[in-house]
Amino acid sequence: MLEKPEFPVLVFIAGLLFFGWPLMEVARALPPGGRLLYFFGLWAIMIVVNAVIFRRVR
Amino acid sequence: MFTTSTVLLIFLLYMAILFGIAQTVERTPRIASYLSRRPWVYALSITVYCTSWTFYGSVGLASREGLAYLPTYLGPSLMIGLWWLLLRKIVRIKEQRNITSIADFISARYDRSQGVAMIVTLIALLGTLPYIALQLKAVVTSFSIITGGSVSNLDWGGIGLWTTGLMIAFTVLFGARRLDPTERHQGMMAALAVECMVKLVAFLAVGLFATFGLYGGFNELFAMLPAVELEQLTRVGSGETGAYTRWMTVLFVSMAGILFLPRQFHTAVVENCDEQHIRTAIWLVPGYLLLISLFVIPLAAAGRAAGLPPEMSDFFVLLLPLQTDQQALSVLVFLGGLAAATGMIIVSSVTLATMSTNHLLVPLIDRVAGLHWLKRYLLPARWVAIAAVLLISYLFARELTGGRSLVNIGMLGFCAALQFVPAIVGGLFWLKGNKAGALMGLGLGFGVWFYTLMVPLLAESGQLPIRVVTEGLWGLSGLRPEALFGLDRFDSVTHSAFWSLFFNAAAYLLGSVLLPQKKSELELASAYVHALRYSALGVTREAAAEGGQIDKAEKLAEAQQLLSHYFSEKIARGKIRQIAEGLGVLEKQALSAGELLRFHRELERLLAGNIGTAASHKAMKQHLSYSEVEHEQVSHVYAAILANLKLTPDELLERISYFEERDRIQREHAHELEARVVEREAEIRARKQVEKKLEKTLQSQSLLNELLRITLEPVSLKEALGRALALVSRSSWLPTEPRGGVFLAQEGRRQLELFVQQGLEPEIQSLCQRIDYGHCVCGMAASRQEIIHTDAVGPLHANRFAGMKDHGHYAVPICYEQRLQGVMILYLRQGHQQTQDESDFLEAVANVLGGLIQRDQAQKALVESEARQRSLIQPGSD
Repeated sequence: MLEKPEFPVLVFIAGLLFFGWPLMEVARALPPGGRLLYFFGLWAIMIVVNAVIFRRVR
Repeated sequence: MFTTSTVLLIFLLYMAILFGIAQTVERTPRIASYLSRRPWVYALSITVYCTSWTFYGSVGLASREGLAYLPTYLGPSLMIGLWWLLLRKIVRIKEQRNITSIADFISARYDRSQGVAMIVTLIALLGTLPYIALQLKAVVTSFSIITGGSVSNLDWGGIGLWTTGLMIAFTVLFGARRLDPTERHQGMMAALAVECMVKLVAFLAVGLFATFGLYGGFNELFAMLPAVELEQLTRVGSGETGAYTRWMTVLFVSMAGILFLPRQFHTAVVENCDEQHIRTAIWLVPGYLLLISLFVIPLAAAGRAAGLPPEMSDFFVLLLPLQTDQQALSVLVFLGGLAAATGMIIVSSVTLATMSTNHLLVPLIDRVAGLHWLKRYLLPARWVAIAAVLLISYLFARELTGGRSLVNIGMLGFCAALQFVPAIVGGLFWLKGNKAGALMGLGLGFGVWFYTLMVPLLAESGQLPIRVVTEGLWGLSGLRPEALFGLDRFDSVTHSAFWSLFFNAAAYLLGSVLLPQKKSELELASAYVHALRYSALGVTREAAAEGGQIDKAEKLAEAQQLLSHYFSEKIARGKIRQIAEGLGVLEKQALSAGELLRFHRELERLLAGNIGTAASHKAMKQHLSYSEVEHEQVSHVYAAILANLKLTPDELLERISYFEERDRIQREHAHELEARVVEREAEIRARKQVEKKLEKTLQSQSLLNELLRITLEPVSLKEALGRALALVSRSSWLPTEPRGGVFLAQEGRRQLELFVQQGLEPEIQSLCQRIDYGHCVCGMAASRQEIIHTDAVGPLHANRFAGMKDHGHYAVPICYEQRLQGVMILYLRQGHQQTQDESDFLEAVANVLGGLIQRDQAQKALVESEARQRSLIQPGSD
């Protein structure tokens, strides 16, 4: 399993989950409006990154 | 408010429009083909993930616990980033193996185990039924709200039953009108895409209305709330550690749910017709989730600001437009909620019915002889299964959902889907994962899930004694369903997810490591783990291994071109034909990957015989090509071989070396054996010759004995010589013809006189009555006193006549004590050559005959002598 090309991606996801906690701690320190912007901003960035990475190459 | 009949009419009209869309798509191939090529239809259908739980429940959850609703959508958005790797692999396996459901997918990986399929189906059924119940409850509640009915006392007997009945009818019409081996429903998918648009538009409309219609924007809306309430709305739960633990659990569970909930698997995997559509889904689905989540907090805030009762927070979305008398918006919101619920109900019911009939009913029918007749009624059985699923969900909604919020019941289904994670992820990435491990993991995970989530629900609704929850099973506090083994720090969802996944994963790993894996399993495991290495161009394993897909003519032309560098065109064509004939592909139009490999191997061997191994290998590399599809098919064949051999490539190389060495030793041994065989054959030949010689000696000896016996008999010389001639000419081992003669020597005249003959032509009898010594064959034998052999009528043959047949001779001089007595002439087949054995034998015969003639002559001389003596003693007798 360790030799599979997919393994680094799985490690990345595990890492993301692990570091999700500090990201939550950051949100805790922000004001109410800031928290919404923080979460939805990260989310929107993630969508844009997905769209750029996986756009169909013709 | 609306009247019941108006709402019912709206409901029926909406469903009729959806049905019309589905029908149009299914009956118009042009539209179906157009929509199947549109990735957004596929991506939108995946957003069936957003059910009434999202539409109504997320606002309720946000109102109670702030941002705690977010991980349900953030988790999938994170997970979808991996879909190009994970979903593409699953879709490719689905295409290769014609997968029709998640139970099919998991069981196909684990040796096509019926047991695995049954457990997965049971988990899916028990996990989804509460979820469908949730949707029915949402529809009935929204019906009650929009018609001004009571929310606390829902009309289950009326509206509830009607709604359930209509849903059964629509589900059958949408997804189970016929049995489709691919289980793809383009009409249903188109209707689903429309439903997804309706719920998004409705939610955005009410969000925009609440934010910008009722208030002047976000700032004004949030300013309407006390700071404490705003703080509560924008933090995760209570802000304590437990809330964050739940946040992470829901995030994780939702990551699994977006793909492994049965309906999600159906829309994302089974209904996928082009893996490139995943690229669009990867950004469109998270985008959709973001948009539908965007106004959740504002709607919760607006509900609070509008003074709506907190216990009705699950329906703030519908209550806000109703409160402000926005009838059109209210209808739109009602339809949005309806779309969210019906989409989920239809897809889930179709999926569960498919799984139930395929993995529960069919095995039962196969096993019970009395049920075999049901095989012809699988479609009606599927309708019954749909009705059963919805009716049980109806009963569940009516009896069990009273005390729980929408969100908590929804999480039951998510935790159930979580049980598929070890078996699927292990199956996709771990070759060793086996059936025993999957059965143990799924079984144990399912049991723990049921005990920790379903048992408390049943106990709360009075179906089980509540003390099971408060005191634990058999009064053992360590077995309390919500604090298993004393773990009481977490909420019920985290607690259940942790323990069920812990037992599930541990059993799966231990079972896979400790229990053996069948050979057939390993091949399937390899096909799953290495699925992305194989072509997405519709090339199946079976086709790659068996079915010919490679154009034979093209490959033969390529080989012809290569050989034409080294041979004339005619020879090259002949050699290629020879190879093709040897492989048995002469009559075929297409080659399989295996046949192509063998063809190229034979071609290289042929070339190596002419230009050497290295040069032939280089020539092959230069002139022959493999297309992408062929390359993958060939890889597939090798992968299958490796999988069958249960070897890593290094082990394979070791074994090849071993087998090559063994092959060499065996070849040497074969050469030794071959030499021994040749030696033995020579011995046998020699022995046979000796035996033959002995036999001849025996025969010749018995013939000589017979001759000697004749000489002792009191018969005339003529008779004795005639019988002797007959005996010799009929000898079995002499190639003589049944004719010949014996001449007596007239020493004084130096002539031979024919004394005895057998079968001679009259012409010969006349010509050879008297022969001078040295004339013709017999005269030559007499003059030389040696055996004369001729193989044909030649110059030596002086006495001949017209029309005489060709023949050979043995002319044997008959001597006694070096004195010629006569000549025996034997006729031979034309072309027969003289042998020493025959000469020796004939010499012995001649000696016997010489003795016979000599005795006769001696007797005659004696008689003459006696007569002379008598005449001398009795002179006067004259």
